[in-house]
Amino acid sequence: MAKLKLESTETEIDMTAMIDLVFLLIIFFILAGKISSEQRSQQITVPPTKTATKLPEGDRIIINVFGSTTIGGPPANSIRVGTQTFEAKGIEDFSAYAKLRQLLDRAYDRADKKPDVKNPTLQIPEVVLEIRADADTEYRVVQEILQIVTDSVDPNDAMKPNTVPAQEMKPFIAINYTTRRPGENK
Amino acid sequence: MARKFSRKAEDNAVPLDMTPMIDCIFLLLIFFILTSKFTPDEKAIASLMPTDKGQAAAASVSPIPKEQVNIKIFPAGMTKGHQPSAYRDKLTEIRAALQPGRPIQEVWLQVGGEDPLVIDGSKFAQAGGDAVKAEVNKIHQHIHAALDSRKGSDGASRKDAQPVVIHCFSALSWKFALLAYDAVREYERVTSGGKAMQKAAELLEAREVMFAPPRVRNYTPNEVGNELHEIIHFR
Repeated sequence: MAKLKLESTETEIDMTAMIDLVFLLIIFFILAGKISSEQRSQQITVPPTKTATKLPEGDRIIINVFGSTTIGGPPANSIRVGTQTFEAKGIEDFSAYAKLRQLLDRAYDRADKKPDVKNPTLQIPEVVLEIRADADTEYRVVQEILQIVTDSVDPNDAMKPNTVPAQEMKPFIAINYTTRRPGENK
Repeated sequence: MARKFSRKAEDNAVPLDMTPMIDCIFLLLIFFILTSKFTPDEKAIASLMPTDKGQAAAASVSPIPKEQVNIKIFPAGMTKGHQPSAYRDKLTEIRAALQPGRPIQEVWLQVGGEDPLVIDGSKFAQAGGDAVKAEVNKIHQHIHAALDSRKGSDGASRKDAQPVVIHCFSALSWKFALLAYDAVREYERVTSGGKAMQKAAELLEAREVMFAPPRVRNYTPNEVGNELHEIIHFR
Protein backbone atom coordinates (compact mmCIF):
# COMPACT_ATOMS: atom_id res chain seq x y z
CA MET A 1 0.00 0.00 0.00
CA ALA A 2 2.75 2.37 0.94
CA LYS A 3 4.41 1.87 -2.42
CA LEU A 4 1.34 2.64 -4.41
CA LYS A 5 1.02 5.96 -2.68
CA LEU A 6 4.60 6.80 -3.56
CA GLU A 7 4.09 6.11 -7.27
CA SER A 8 1.19 8.45 -7.53
CA THR A 9 3.39 11.39 -6.63
CA GLU A 10 5.94 10.58 -9.36
CA THR A 11 5.36 12.50 -12.58
CA GLU A 12 4.97 10.05 -15.42
CA ILE A 13 5.74 11.31 -18.90
CA ASP A 14 3.83 9.69 -21.71
CA MET A 15 6.48 9.11 -24.30
CA THR A 16 4.26 7.56 -26.95
CA ALA A 17 3.66 10.82 -28.77
CA MET A 18 7.33 11.71 -28.77
CA ILE A 19 8.34 8.32 -30.09
CA ASP A 20 5.74 8.55 -32.84
CA LEU A 21 7.17 11.87 -33.86
CA VAL A 22 10.77 10.72 -33.74
CA PHE A 23 9.92 7.68 -35.85
CA LEU A 24 8.29 9.90 -38.42
CA LEU A 25 11.39 12.07 -38.52
CA ILE A 26 13.64 9.06 -38.99
CA ILE A 27 11.51 7.71 -41.80
CA PHE A 28 11.55 11.14 -43.43
CA PHE A 29 15.32 11.46 -43.30
CA ILE A 30 15.88 7.92 -44.57
CA LEU A 31 13.58 8.48 -47.52
CA ALA A 32 14.71 12.04 -48.26
CA GLY A 33 18.33 10.96 -48.25
CA LYS A 34 17.55 8.14 -50.64
CA ILE A 35 15.51 10.24 -53.04
CA SER A 36 18.06 12.97 -53.36
CA SER A 37 20.85 10.52 -54.07
CA GLU A 38 18.84 8.44 -56.52
CA GLN A 39 18.84 10.63 -59.59
CA ARG A 40 20.77 13.75 -58.67
CA SER A 41 24.42 13.33 -58.15
CA GLN A 42 25.93 15.49 -55.46
CA GLN A 43 29.23 16.21 -57.13
CA ILE A 44 27.70 18.51 -59.70
CA THR A 45 27.57 22.28 -59.25
CA VAL A 46 25.17 23.62 -61.84
CA PRO A 47 25.80 27.03 -63.44
CA PRO A 48 23.96 30.19 -62.32
CA THR A 49 21.37 31.87 -64.56
CA LYS A 50 18.70 34.53 -64.15
CA THR A 51 15.68 33.29 -66.10
CA ALA A 52 15.47 29.83 -64.60
CA THR A 53 12.09 28.67 -63.35
CA LYS A 54 10.95 25.92 -61.03
CA LEU A 55 11.57 22.40 -62.25
CA PRO A 56 8.31 21.38 -63.91
CA GLU A 57 6.36 18.32 -62.80
CA GLY A 58 6.01 15.24 -64.94
CA ASP A 59 8.05 12.40 -66.34
CA ARG A 60 11.70 13.21 -66.58
CA ILE A 61 15.02 11.55 -67.16
CA ILE A 62 17.92 13.28 -65.46
CA ILE A 63 21.18 13.14 -67.35
CA ASN A 64 23.98 14.02 -64.94
CA VAL A 65 27.08 15.24 -66.75
CA PHE A 66 30.20 15.56 -64.65
CA GLY A 67 32.75 18.27 -65.10
CA SER A 68 36.11 17.16 -66.35
CA THR A 69 37.72 18.98 -63.45
CA THR A 70 35.59 17.66 -60.60
CA ILE A 71 38.17 17.04 -57.92
CA GLY A 72 37.78 13.66 -56.31
CA GLY A 73 34.73 12.99 -58.46
CA PRO A 74 34.26 10.56 -61.30
CA PRO A 75 36.69 10.83 -64.22
CA ALA A 76 36.47 13.21 -67.13
CA ASN A 77 33.33 13.37 -69.23
CA SER A 78 31.20 10.82 -67.51
CA ILE A 79 27.44 10.76 -67.85
CA ARG A 80 25.20 9.25 -65.22
CA VAL A 81 21.53 8.42 -65.63
CA GLY A 82 19.96 6.87 -62.54
CA THR A 83 22.41 4.23 -61.43
CA GLN A 84 24.06 3.77 -64.81
CA THR A 85 27.31 5.53 -65.56
CA PHE A 86 28.68 5.94 -69.06
CA GLU A 87 32.30 6.85 -69.05
CA ALA A 88 34.33 8.21 -71.88
CA LYS A 89 37.96 7.19 -71.67
CA GLY A 90 39.12 10.47 -73.08
CA ILE A 91 37.83 13.23 -75.29
CA GLU A 92 37.75 11.08 -78.40
CA ASP A 93 35.87 8.14 -76.96
CA PHE A 94 32.30 8.37 -78.22
CA SER A 95 31.01 5.05 -76.88
CA ALA A 96 29.35 6.76 -73.91
CA TYR A 97 27.03 8.67 -76.24
CA ALA A 98 26.04 5.51 -78.10
CA LYS A 99 25.20 3.85 -74.77
CA LEU A 100 23.18 6.88 -73.73
CA ARG A 101 21.27 6.60 -76.99
CA GLN A 102 20.43 2.95 -76.27
CA LEU A 103 19.04 3.97 -72.90
CA LEU A 104 16.99 6.73 -74.50
CA ASP A 105 15.68 4.29 -77.13
CA ARG A 106 14.33 2.07 -74.38
CA ALA A 107 12.78 5.06 -72.57
CA TYR A 108 11.22 6.20 -75.84
CA ASP A 109 9.57 2.83 -76.42
CA ARG A 110 7.99 2.91 -72.97
CA ALA A 111 6.72 6.51 -73.11
CA ASP A 112 3.38 7.91 -74.26
CA LYS A 113 3.83 9.71 -77.57
CA LYS A 114 2.21 12.47 -79.57
CA PRO A 115 2.93 13.64 -83.13
CA ASP A 116 5.11 16.75 -83.32
CA VAL A 117 3.49 20.12 -83.95
CA LYS A 118 5.97 21.31 -86.57
CA ASN A 119 6.83 18.00 -88.14
CA PRO A 120 3.96 15.47 -87.81
CA THR A 121 6.02 12.57 -89.13
CA LEU A 122 7.86 12.55 -85.82
CA GLN A 123 6.38 10.99 -82.68
CA ILE A 124 7.43 12.92 -79.60
CA PRO A 125 7.46 11.21 -76.18
CA GLU A 126 5.93 13.05 -73.24
CA VAL A 127 9.11 12.91 -71.25
CA VAL A 128 11.39 15.79 -70.32
CA LEU A 129 15.13 15.23 -70.48
CA GLU A 130 16.91 17.20 -67.83
CA ILE A 131 20.52 17.91 -68.66
CA ARG A 132 22.19 18.47 -65.33
CA ALA A 133 25.69 19.42 -66.36
CA ASP A 134 28.38 20.76 -64.10
CA ALA A 135 29.28 24.42 -64.70
CA ASP A 136 32.76 23.38 -65.78
CA THR A 137 31.79 20.45 -68.00
CA GLU A 138 33.43 20.88 -71.36
CA TYR A 139 30.86 22.31 -73.72
CA ARG A 140 31.53 19.62 -76.33
CA VAL A 141 29.98 16.97 -74.06
CA VAL A 142 26.70 18.87 -73.84
CA GLN A 143 26.92 19.60 -77.56
CA GLU A 144 27.23 15.90 -78.35
CA ILE A 145 24.39 14.99 -75.98
CA LEU A 146 22.10 17.55 -77.64
CA GLN A 147 22.83 15.84 -80.97
CA ILE A 148 22.18 12.40 -79.55
CA VAL A 149 18.82 13.18 -77.92
CA THR A 150 17.12 14.36 -81.11
CA ASP A 151 18.22 11.17 -82.85
CA SER A 152 19.03 13.09 -86.01
CA VAL A 153 22.65 11.94 -86.02
CA ASP A 154 24.41 8.62 -86.07
CA PRO A 155 25.03 7.84 -82.37
CA ASN A 156 28.54 6.66 -83.17
CA ASP A 157 29.43 9.75 -85.13
CA ALA A 158 27.65 13.02 -84.45
CA MET A 159 28.93 14.52 -87.70
CA LYS A 160 26.98 12.04 -89.81
CA PRO A 161 23.22 12.32 -90.13
CA ASN A 162 21.13 9.40 -88.96
CA THR A 163 20.20 7.16 -91.87
CA VAL A 164 16.91 5.87 -90.43
CA PRO A 165 13.75 7.26 -92.02
CA ALA A 166 12.05 10.03 -90.06
CA GLN A 167 9.15 7.80 -89.00
CA GLU A 168 11.54 5.48 -87.19
CA MET A 169 13.50 8.18 -85.37
CA LYS A 170 13.15 8.37 -81.62
CA PRO A 171 13.62 12.04 -80.82
CA PHE A 172 13.29 13.70 -77.44
CA ILE A 173 12.76 17.41 -77.91
CA ALA A 174 11.76 18.76 -74.50
CA ILE A 175 15.06 19.57 -72.86
CA ASN A 176 15.62 21.24 -69.49
CA TYR A 177 18.97 22.62 -68.49
CA THR A 178 19.41 22.46 -64.74
CA THR A 179 20.68 25.65 -63.21
CA ARG A 180 20.50 27.77 -60.07
CA ARG A 181 19.87 31.40 -59.20
CA PRO A 182 23.03 33.55 -59.07
CA GLY A 183 22.52 34.38 -55.39
CA GLU A 184 22.30 30.77 -54.26
CA ASN A 185 25.49 28.92 -53.74
CA LYS A 186 26.25 25.32 -53.42
CA MET B 1 6.73 -9.01 -0.28
CA ALA B 2 7.89 -6.55 -2.90
CA ARG B 3 7.95 -9.26 -5.50
CA LYS B 4 4.44 -10.24 -4.87
CA PHE B 5 3.39 -6.66 -5.20
CA SER B 6 5.03 -6.03 -8.52
CA ARG B 7 3.43 -9.15 -9.93
CA LYS B 8 0.10 -7.78 -9.05
CA ALA B 9 0.84 -4.57 -10.88
CA GLU B 10 1.85 -6.50 -14.01
CA ASP B 11 -1.60 -7.93 -14.26
CA ASN B 12 -2.98 -4.59 -15.34
CA ALA B 13 -0.28 -3.22 -17.64
CA VAL B 14 3.03 -4.53 -18.83
CA PRO B 15 5.53 -1.80 -18.06
CA LEU B 16 7.91 -1.68 -20.95
CA ASP B 17 11.14 0.16 -20.40
CA MET B 18 11.46 2.30 -23.45
CA THR B 19 14.56 4.23 -22.49
CA PRO B 20 17.10 2.12 -24.46
CA MET B 21 14.87 2.12 -27.49
CA ILE B 22 14.51 5.87 -27.43
CA ASP B 23 18.24 6.28 -26.99
CA CYS B 24 18.81 4.08 -29.96
CA ILE B 25 16.23 5.88 -32.08
CA PHE B 26 17.64 9.26 -31.20
CA LEU B 27 21.06 8.09 -32.28
CA LEU B 28 19.61 6.92 -35.58
CA LEU B 29 17.79 10.20 -36.01
CA ILE B 30 20.93 12.21 -35.39
CA PHE B 31 22.82 10.00 -37.83
CA PHE B 32 20.29 10.52 -40.61
CA ILE B 33 20.01 14.25 -39.99
CA LEU B 34 23.75 14.62 -40.25
CA THR B 35 24.28 12.36 -43.25
CA SER B 36 21.36 13.41 -45.43
CA LYS B 37 22.35 16.19 -47.76
CA PHE B 38 19.68 17.97 -49.65
CA THR B 39 20.16 19.00 -53.20
CA PRO B 40 20.20 22.78 -53.39
CA ASP B 41 17.17 24.45 -54.79
CA GLU B 42 17.67 23.73 -58.45
CA LYS B 43 15.84 25.46 -61.23
CA ALA B 44 15.60 24.72 -64.92
CA ILE B 45 15.69 26.43 -68.26
CA ALA B 46 13.22 24.80 -70.60
CA SER B 47 13.88 24.44 -74.30
CA LEU B 48 12.57 22.58 -77.30
CA MET B 49 14.88 21.11 -79.89
CA PRO B 50 13.96 22.14 -83.43
CA THR B 51 12.27 19.40 -85.42
CA ASP B 52 11.75 21.34 -88.63
CA LYS B 53 15.43 21.32 -89.52
CA GLY B 54 17.97 18.85 -90.69
CA GLN B 55 17.43 15.49 -92.21
CA ALA B 56 14.23 14.69 -90.32
CA ALA B 57 12.46 17.47 -92.20
CA ALA B 58 14.47 17.61 -95.40
CA ALA B 59 11.32 18.12 -97.49
CA SER B 60 10.03 21.15 -95.60
CA VAL B 61 13.22 23.18 -95.39
CA SER B 62 12.66 26.74 -96.53
CA PRO B 63 14.87 27.70 -99.49
CA ILE B 64 16.12 31.04 -98.13
CA PRO B 65 17.82 30.81 -94.76
CA LYS B 66 16.85 33.59 -92.38
CA GLU B 67 19.48 35.98 -91.21
CA GLN B 68 20.71 35.00 -87.78
CA VAL B 69 22.43 36.54 -84.78
CA ASN B 70 25.66 34.76 -83.92
CA ILE B 71 26.93 34.81 -80.37
CA LYS B 72 30.49 33.57 -80.28
CA ILE B 73 32.37 32.51 -77.16
CA PHE B 74 36.09 31.74 -77.29
CA PRO B 75 39.23 32.11 -75.17
CA ALA B 76 40.23 35.72 -74.46
CA GLY B 77 42.91 37.36 -76.56
CA MET B 78 42.16 35.57 -79.81
CA THR B 79 41.80 38.26 -82.42
CA LYS B 80 40.61 37.92 -85.99
CA GLY B 81 42.75 37.48 -89.05
CA HIS B 82 45.12 34.64 -88.25
CA GLN B 83 45.70 31.17 -89.64
CA PRO B 84 44.11 28.16 -87.84
CA SER B 85 47.60 27.11 -86.72
CA ALA B 86 48.04 30.44 -84.93
CA TYR B 87 44.89 29.77 -82.87
CA ARG B 88 46.10 26.26 -82.16
CA ASP B 89 49.38 27.61 -80.80
CA LYS B 90 47.66 30.34 -78.83
CA LEU B 91 45.40 27.74 -77.22
CA THR B 92 48.38 25.61 -76.24
CA GLU B 93 49.96 28.72 -74.74
CA ILE B 94 46.83 29.58 -72.73
CA ARG B 95 46.54 26.02 -71.47
CA ALA B 96 50.19 25.87 -70.46
CA ALA B 97 49.66 28.87 -68.21
CA LEU B 98 46.82 27.13 -66.36
CA GLN B 99 47.11 24.56 -63.60
CA PRO B 100 46.73 21.08 -65.07
CA GLY B 101 43.10 20.01 -65.39
CA ARG B 102 41.75 23.51 -64.73
CA PRO B 103 39.34 25.00 -67.25
CA ILE B 104 39.93 28.22 -69.17
CA GLN B 105 38.17 31.00 -67.27
CA GLU B 106 39.07 34.15 -69.23
CA VAL B 107 36.86 34.23 -72.29
CA TRP B 108 35.54 36.65 -74.85
CA LEU B 109 31.92 36.85 -75.83
CA GLN B 110 31.27 38.49 -79.16
CA VAL B 111 27.99 39.15 -80.94
CA GLY B 112 28.48 39.21 -84.71
CA GLY B 113 31.41 41.48 -85.51
CA GLU B 114 31.08 43.75 -82.49
CA ASP B 115 33.65 44.39 -79.78
CA PRO B 116 34.09 41.37 -77.53
CA LEU B 117 33.10 41.35 -73.87
CA VAL B 118 35.59 39.93 -71.38
CA ILE B 119 34.12 37.36 -69.00
CA ASP B 120 35.86 36.02 -65.94
CA GLY B 121 34.43 32.54 -65.43
CA SER B 122 36.06 32.05 -62.04
CA LYS B 123 33.61 34.61 -60.61
CA PHE B 124 30.72 32.16 -61.02
CA ALA B 125 32.20 29.78 -58.51
CA GLN B 126 32.67 32.40 -55.81
CA ALA B 127 30.83 32.33 -52.53
CA GLY B 128 28.44 35.17 -51.87
CA GLY B 129 26.00 36.06 -54.58
CA ASP B 130 27.09 39.60 -55.47
CA ALA B 131 30.16 38.85 -57.58
CA VAL B 132 28.22 36.15 -59.42
CA LYS B 133 25.26 38.46 -59.99
CA ALA B 134 27.48 41.26 -61.26
CA GLU B 135 29.17 38.99 -63.79
CA VAL B 136 25.84 37.52 -64.92
CA ASN B 137 24.37 41.02 -65.32
CA LYS B 138 27.37 42.10 -67.37
CA ILE B 139 26.73 39.32 -69.89
CA HIS B 140 23.01 40.08 -69.95
CA GLN B 141 23.54 43.79 -70.60
CA HIS B 142 26.01 43.13 -73.38
CA ILE B 143 23.73 40.71 -75.19
CA HIS B 144 20.64 42.87 -74.64
CA ALA B 145 22.37 45.88 -76.19
CA ALA B 146 23.49 43.80 -79.15
CA LEU B 147 20.01 42.37 -79.72
CA ASP B 148 18.47 45.84 -79.38
CA SER B 149 20.68 47.19 -82.14
CA ARG B 150 19.40 44.44 -84.47
CA LYS B 151 15.76 44.96 -83.60
CA GLY B 152 14.91 46.73 -86.88
CA SER B 153 14.78 43.57 -88.94
CA ASP B 154 12.66 41.61 -86.45
CA GLY B 155 9.26 40.44 -87.60
CA ALA B 156 5.94 41.24 -85.97
CA SER B 157 5.94 38.17 -83.76
CA ARG B 158 8.82 37.00 -81.61
CA LYS B 159 8.74 33.76 -83.55
CA ASP B 160 9.81 35.63 -86.69
CA ALA B 161 12.67 37.47 -85.04
CA GLN B 162 16.14 36.54 -86.25
CA PRO B 163 17.16 33.23 -84.72
CA VAL B 164 20.04 33.36 -82.27
CA VAL B 165 22.78 30.76 -82.60
CA ILE B 166 25.33 30.30 -79.84
CA HIS B 167 28.74 29.25 -81.10
CA CYS B 168 30.81 28.31 -78.10
CA PHE B 169 34.30 26.91 -78.46
CA SER B 170 33.95 23.21 -77.61
CA ALA B 171 36.67 23.03 -74.95
CA LEU B 172 35.27 25.87 -72.82
CA SER B 173 33.05 25.35 -69.79
CA TRP B 174 29.37 24.75 -70.39
CA LYS B 175 28.39 27.67 -68.12
CA PHE B 176 29.40 30.27 -70.74
CA ALA B 177 27.09 28.87 -73.40
CA LEU B 178 24.22 28.50 -70.94
CA LEU B 179 24.65 32.08 -69.71
CA ALA B 180 24.46 33.41 -73.26
CA TYR B 181 21.28 31.37 -73.72
CA ASP B 182 19.95 32.77 -70.45
CA ALA B 183 20.63 36.36 -71.57
CA VAL B 184 18.71 35.88 -74.82
CA ARG B 185 15.81 34.35 -72.91
CA GLU B 186 15.74 37.31 -70.52
CA TYR B 187 15.76 39.72 -73.49
CA GLU B 188 12.84 37.83 -75.04
CA ARG B 189 10.94 37.84 -71.78
CA VAL B 190 11.28 41.64 -71.55
CA THR B 191 10.49 42.37 -75.22
CA SER B 192 7.48 40.05 -75.35
CA GLY B 193 5.96 41.74 -72.30
CA GLY B 194 6.92 39.27 -69.61
CA LYS B 195 6.11 35.99 -71.34
CA ALA B 196 8.25 33.28 -69.84
CA MET B 197 9.69 30.67 -72.19
CA GLN B 198 8.69 27.74 -70.07
CA LYS B 199 5.87 25.61 -71.43
CA ALA B 200 5.99 23.91 -74.81
CA ALA B 201 3.30 26.22 -76.23
CA GLU B 202 5.25 29.31 -75.15
CA LEU B 203 8.47 27.94 -76.59
CA LEU B 204 6.83 27.32 -79.96
CA GLU B 205 5.79 30.97 -80.12
CA ALA B 206 9.15 32.30 -78.97
CA ARG B 207 12.25 33.33 -80.84
CA GLU B 208 14.52 30.51 -81.84
CA VAL B 209 17.66 30.18 -79.73
CA MET B 210 20.02 27.34 -80.53
CA PHE B 211 23.34 25.90 -79.56
CA ALA B 212 25.38 25.33 -82.71
CA PRO B 213 26.09 21.64 -83.43
CA PRO B 214 29.66 20.32 -83.14
CA ARG B 215 32.03 21.56 -85.85
CA VAL B 216 34.79 19.01 -85.58
CA ARG B 217 34.78 15.31 -84.99
CA ASN B 218 38.22 14.59 -83.69
CA TYR B 219 39.47 16.99 -81.11
CA THR B 220 43.07 16.91 -82.23
CA PRO B 221 45.04 20.18 -81.83
CA ASN B 222 44.81 20.92 -85.56
CA GLU B 223 41.07 20.31 -85.75
CA VAL B 224 40.53 22.45 -82.67
CA GLY B 225 42.57 25.21 -84.32
CA ASN B 226 40.25 25.00 -87.32
CA GLU B 227 37.23 25.17 -85.07
CA LEU B 228 38.52 28.31 -83.34
CA HIS B 229 39.31 29.90 -86.68
CA GLU B 230 35.81 29.20 -87.90
CA ILE B 231 34.07 30.51 -84.75
CA ILE B 232 36.15 33.68 -84.56
CA HIS B 233 35.52 34.57 -88.20
CA PHE B 234 31.78 34.04 -88.10
CA ARG B 235 29.77 37.23 -88.40
